[in-house]
Amino acid sequence: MTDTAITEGAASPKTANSGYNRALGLLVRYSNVLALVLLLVVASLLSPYFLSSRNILNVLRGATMIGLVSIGMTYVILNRGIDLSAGSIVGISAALTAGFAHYGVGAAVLVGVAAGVAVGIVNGLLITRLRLQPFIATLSTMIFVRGLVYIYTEGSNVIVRDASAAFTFLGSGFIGPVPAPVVLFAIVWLIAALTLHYTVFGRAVYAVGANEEAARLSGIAVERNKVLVYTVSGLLAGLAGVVLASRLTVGEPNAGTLYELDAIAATLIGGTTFDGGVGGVGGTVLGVLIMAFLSNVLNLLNVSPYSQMLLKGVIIVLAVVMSEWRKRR
Amino acid sequence: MASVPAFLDVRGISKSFPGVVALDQVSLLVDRGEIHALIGENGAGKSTLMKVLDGIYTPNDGEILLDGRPVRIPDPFVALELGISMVHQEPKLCSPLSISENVFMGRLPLAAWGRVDWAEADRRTAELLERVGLDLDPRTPVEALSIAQRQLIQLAKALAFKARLIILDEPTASLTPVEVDRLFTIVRGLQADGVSFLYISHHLDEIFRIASRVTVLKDGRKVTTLDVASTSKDALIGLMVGRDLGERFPAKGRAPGKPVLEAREISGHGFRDASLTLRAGEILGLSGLVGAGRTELARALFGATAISAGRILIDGGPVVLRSPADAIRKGVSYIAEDRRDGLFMPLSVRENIAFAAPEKHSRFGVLNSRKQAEQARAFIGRLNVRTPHAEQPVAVLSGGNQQKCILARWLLKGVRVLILDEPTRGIDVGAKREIYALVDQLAREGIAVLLISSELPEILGMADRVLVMSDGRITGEVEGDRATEESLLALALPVESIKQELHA
Repeated sequence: MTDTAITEGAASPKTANSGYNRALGLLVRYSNVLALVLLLVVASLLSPYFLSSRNILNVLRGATMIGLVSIGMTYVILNRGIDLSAGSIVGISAALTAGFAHYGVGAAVLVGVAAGVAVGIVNGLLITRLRLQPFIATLSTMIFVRGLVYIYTEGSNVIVRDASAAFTFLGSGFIGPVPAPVVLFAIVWLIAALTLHYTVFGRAVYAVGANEEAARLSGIAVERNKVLVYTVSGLLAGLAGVVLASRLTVGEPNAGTLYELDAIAATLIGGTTFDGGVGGVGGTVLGVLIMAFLSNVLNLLNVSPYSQMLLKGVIIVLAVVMSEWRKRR
Repeated sequence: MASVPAFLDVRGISKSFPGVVALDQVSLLVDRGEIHALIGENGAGKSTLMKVLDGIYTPNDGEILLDGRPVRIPDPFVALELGISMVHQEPKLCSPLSISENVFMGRLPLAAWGRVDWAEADRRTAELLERVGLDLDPRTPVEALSIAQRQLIQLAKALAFKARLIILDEPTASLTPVEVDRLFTIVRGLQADGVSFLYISHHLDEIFRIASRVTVLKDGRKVTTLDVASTSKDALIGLMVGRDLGERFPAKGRAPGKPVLEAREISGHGFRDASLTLRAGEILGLSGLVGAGRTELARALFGATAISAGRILIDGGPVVLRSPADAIRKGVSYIAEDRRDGLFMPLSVRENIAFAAPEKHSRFGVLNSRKQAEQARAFIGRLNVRTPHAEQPVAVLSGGNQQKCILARWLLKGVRVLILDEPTRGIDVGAKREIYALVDQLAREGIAVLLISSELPEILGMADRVLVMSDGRITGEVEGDRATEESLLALALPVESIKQELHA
């Protein structure tokens, strides 16, 4: 039928780029790096205290929990899913970690992380076996697991009495001058990034997110990949809960509430898109840092938390618009 | 020309898409109250012409006149306003909503303060249902209706918009003979009221029953318009097919070896009792009209859909294929009808080639990127994939080069069976020729190829043997040298047409 067709345009990526265009391209491409640098420069000009190592390390320590959850969230969103239960997982993990503290640090950490893994597996099975949409599956577990937290804590704080130095190390300790949770976060980031780039599993995360049907037709075990992705998210949210309990020596029933939304925001700001298959954890870490330093400098400048929320909302919109531009170039 | 202008006057319409000229200077006249048939092979340009009239596509060239006045049809709503309605083969209705709501969608009758006047909508819907011969409560949700009833709802919707031209796209494809008779009675009734019809069908006998004139399209061009009374089915088939094959296909003379993939009376969604034997080193063509069940059969052979009966054999032994992964492990591969189902658009050419064969460049789940890149580059070279480098996102490549990436994926994997579903659809002539040469070479190297194509010349030029499907069944097998477009089309047309032809 197309015998008479005129030869179609050869594959020609835009070659004729003027210098202006190229500069604009780089600007869009590295907009989140640029935003972070700009933020740091402006903040240090506005507040002399901002650049002190003490302030910087404090901000980084505070960002650890959201950071861990965000890395898991990045896996899920790359896979074209969503994990709304991450915040509740932080809650159950923190409560269990605090509750099991008297059995020893090892047991407490293990129980907290295992709870996260278990919820992650349940999410994965709901999505692959019952064919629930990720939004619905994880909305259900978000509510269910938060209910478990309230039942376990009976609605009040689980306080760790006479917490050992070992117990508080993960949340409040130092390795040299660097807070232990920051070191943990860096290690997790490294492993997560290497896994995404250099393992068959990591590339399948992208493949399934980019085109599930093509992945299936290429022989990729799509369902197993999805279950693993939600397990990773659960694991990292569980780890975040452990760090939180260790830092506060308390398991609060509301711990981790709304963390999932901050993590989604950080992932989006980092350039990972809801279309799946585009982005990575490097960008997400930038997103986490942008959010954390922004709150910090606004706090230093005495901007009310309510006004801060307005700005964060605007930033998410800008970041996503940038991602769209990046895609079109 | 007559002093009274034709109701619809289509003049020199052209429409092209990247790589394909779908319509080339097509003109058409339809009188008031005429039933005008439009026929042609798959891809002859019928759907494109309909979509131009329905405002879905904007033509590159030409003009459309209604009652002698030129009109522009930028979108389907304007088409409705002008009195042009389309009745789709797969009814496009909002199934959870009521009949009334579907019939008056977009212009529900209103009462005071913008409130929807449901009583009025139901009353008018009831009238329209009577006109199309349906005895139904207007409040019934559309999802409770049969396909035939939904088709008539579309007709009712056309009448609600006071349609003067109704386009019927394969209206009888899923109807029983009794339902077809009922539809024809209604169509004739509307014709008496002055409504014109453009009637698209593969069922030539229907055209002789209902249409007064017939226009034949081929390769995007109009062949001719004839009075139905002065032509015959054979003459029409002759006009639909037959063209210069040229020298673009590789020479045949391949030597088929042992059977690799066999199906024994398998049934599944869309096909029944299908048996076939695919040998190493041969190209087996699978021909038939769109909707005949070819893709469904192919996907079942690849484990992408389940079979409900029968057996599949690989190398003579029965196998159970629960997923494509099972089939791939046995050396079977499939290239989907829609190229987008096979591509990871945002990802690199390298990864698009590599994804099915991780064992070739990984150990314990850890990738060796350098090895992966070397393998990808080797196939980019061998298949002449035109890309600046292996890291280019596959999305920016042309259709032909994307298709080569998917082929490369299976060659890297080292499969023994290649099922190609419309492998050259929407691909330019040059890339087509390259793909033909490559498929021929692979067959000569001993790969078994099942080639599904709606392009008869492609099947005739490539296949050693041809199976033809119609209505979910394999209706015949023809040796490659003996196959002609006429013989394949005769097997592909729906069964009752053939029976009538035999009795004629």
